[in-house]
Amino acid sequence: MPERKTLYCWEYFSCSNTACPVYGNRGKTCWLEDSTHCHNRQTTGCIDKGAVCTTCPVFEKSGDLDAIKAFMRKHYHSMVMREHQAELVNRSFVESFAHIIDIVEKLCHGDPTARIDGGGSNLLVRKLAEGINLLAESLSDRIDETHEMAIGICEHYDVLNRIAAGDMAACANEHSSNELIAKLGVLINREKASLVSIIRRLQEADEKLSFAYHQMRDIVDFLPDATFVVDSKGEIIAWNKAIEEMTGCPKEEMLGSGERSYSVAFYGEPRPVLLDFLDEDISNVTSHYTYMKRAGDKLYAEAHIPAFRGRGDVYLWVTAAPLIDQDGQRVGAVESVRDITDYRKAELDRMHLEAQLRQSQKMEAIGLLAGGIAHDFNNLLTAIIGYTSLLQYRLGPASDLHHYLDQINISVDRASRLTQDLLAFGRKRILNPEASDLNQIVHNIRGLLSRLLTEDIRFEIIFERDPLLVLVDRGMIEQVLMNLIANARDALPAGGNVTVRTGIVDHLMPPPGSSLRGDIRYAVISVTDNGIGMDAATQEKIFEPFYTTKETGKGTGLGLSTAYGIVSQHEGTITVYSEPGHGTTFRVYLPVLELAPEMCNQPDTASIQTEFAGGDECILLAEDNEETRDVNREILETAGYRVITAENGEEALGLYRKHRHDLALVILDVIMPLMNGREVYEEIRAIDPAARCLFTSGYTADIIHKKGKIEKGVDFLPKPTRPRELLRTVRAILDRPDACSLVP
Amino acid sequence: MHIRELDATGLKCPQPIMKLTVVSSEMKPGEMLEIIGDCPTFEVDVRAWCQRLNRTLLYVTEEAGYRRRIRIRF
Repeated sequence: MPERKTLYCWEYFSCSNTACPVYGNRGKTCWLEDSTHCHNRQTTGCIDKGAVCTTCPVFEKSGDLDAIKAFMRKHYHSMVMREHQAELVNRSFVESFAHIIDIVEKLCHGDPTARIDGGGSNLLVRKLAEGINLLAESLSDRIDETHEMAIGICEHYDVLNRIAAGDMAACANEHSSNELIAKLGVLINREKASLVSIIRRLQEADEKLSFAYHQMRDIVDFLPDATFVVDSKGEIIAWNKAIEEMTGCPKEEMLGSGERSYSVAFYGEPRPVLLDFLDEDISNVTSHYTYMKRAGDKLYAEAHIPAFRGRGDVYLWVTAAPLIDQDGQRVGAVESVRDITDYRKAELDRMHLEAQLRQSQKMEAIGLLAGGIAHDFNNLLTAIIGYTSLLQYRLGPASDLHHYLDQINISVDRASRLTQDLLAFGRKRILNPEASDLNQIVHNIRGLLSRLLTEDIRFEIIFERDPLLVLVDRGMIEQVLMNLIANARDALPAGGNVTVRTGIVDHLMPPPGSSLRGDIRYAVISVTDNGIGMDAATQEKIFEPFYTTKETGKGTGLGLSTAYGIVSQHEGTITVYSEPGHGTTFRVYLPVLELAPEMCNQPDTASIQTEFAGGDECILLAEDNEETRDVNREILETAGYRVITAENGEEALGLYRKHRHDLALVILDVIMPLMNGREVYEEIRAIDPAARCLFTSGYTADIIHKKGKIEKGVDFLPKPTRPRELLRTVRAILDRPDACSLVP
Repeated sequence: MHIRELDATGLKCPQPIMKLTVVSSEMKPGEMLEIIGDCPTFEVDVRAWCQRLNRTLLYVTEEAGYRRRIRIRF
């Protein structure tokens, strides 16, 4: 076998790499050396060396089997070792990745605390574990932040929820690691404070509004006029108490209702509601109202609801107006209904009263006229009576001319009564009380009373057995009786009975309901008829002035009130008892004068031929009427008196001053020119307080009396003056021991 | 006494406490609620929620080895 030549790689490849461990070294075989620089590339490890050397021509051509065997043994061991190491590495990878996957799974399930411990020897695995742990750390931070944000949101949600439910004490947490949550807490609290402030202001405004609303509602509710208000849709927004009463419709049912539900009946009578015609033609509804007028945008009307089932006539004043808001927009309408029934009745009463007043004024004017006529007529009668008496006196009792003079006297008596009636009619009579028997007064005017009654009325007088002495003005009491009789007559349009009864009421039995005294006795005149009677309401008003149940023009309404006034003036009273359909009884109570009967004044029945009661004193006679002055002077002179006459007050006063030491009496006419009788009297009394005066008058005026009575110390003789009365009165005054009144 | 139950099983935190918050607005003072969850941080989150929202956590029980039941008084 041929010997093989040893090949060297550095020679074969002409290598110049001196760094290679085999370069230039013939003792070394390159494929057995590690870290050779084959093809200028350093080869380390068996794999690299094997891969290079097995394909290297130097190795193939060397033919050195020992070297090749050594090479093969060396590299097989290396390969086994390498495989074993690869298996260990692979196992480590599997374990590491399993752990990593477990941790990653935990992280994925939301466990931020999961971490990879270690990571093994493999660099790559360690790097991966470190990366995942870093990711877990980061994820944990994110989760913590997320939880903080979530719980912060939950907190704020809870607080907002409580605030929404009205719990203003709820307060948001302003502290959080999350800035947004913290700021959100601050914002919530700030907004809550603002909300609380707004709510407080709203509450205050609401309270004010509520107060104003209730105030307005109360005002509307308590308006005396029935009032309701509708909005622009026609729904009722106000319905007050007055309209509830007027219509009977309760507010609860009416408020909020529409479709003209307000068109209800007033006092039971339906009629078109005025506010429906604010913009409509009113000509169609005027028939439902007694008056209607449009003024601007308002409507005014008056309605009359006739009496029905016990309810009287009702008058309503209706006003309708649009409801305008602050912006000038029409937002509804208001209607008010005022019950003016009382006003209408008062107006009617006023008209009635005015008619009564006119009637009264007319009667007053007639009375004045009648009084004036009576005054002048009395002066004429005084002259006629005086001269007739003087003539009778001069003729003597044997003269056959007395018959004519008697006729003159009769006529004069009638004329005198006529003037008294005229004075009474004119209420110009003075209250001149005198002690009188009430039986006698009634007896004296029985004829006159019967003439007041019609023929179909039976008239009866029943007298008390004993005299009824009273202190009265006979004429006044006669007037009372006449008024009562006239009243009884009017209560008997179809005839009937009228009974006048006199009597006495012991102080132990005073009439009930009267103002009479219980410690004195009263004389009573009752006037009873069985006529139509009166109800209680009429009885209550029967003595009121101007109250009359008679037709206009048939009564003054003063008859019973005058009677009441006269009786009251006499310190008595008058009562009425009546039943409708059964009749009426008036009772006049007058205080009994506890004097002997003989002291009362007797009627003038003495003959005119009785001797005149005369004297020789000096008398001043002041009289403006010439006829009266002359006849009275002649009567007085015929009776022996010395008479000085005056035509007026001033002359009388002058004559008094001149002859006052001679004068025993002054006779003064009340009405005289220059100075009236009272003025002259006062001057005389100033000169001589004891001076004696006698007033005469045919026209009694307020000049000489107060409260209808002659003043104390003043004597009065009404005209026409009869000679005997004149002389008797003059003599009585002159015979009085000192100056005092005939009248107590 | 009726106790309301809120099943938050399967929900990941913070979903259970978010749901608890929504339900809590329907609860009246004195009422009870039990919430059940299996999220790893479920108990911690609910405890924090009760503390922060001033609700009373009465007790925590473990069920089936993987979930917890927490009773809360409102």
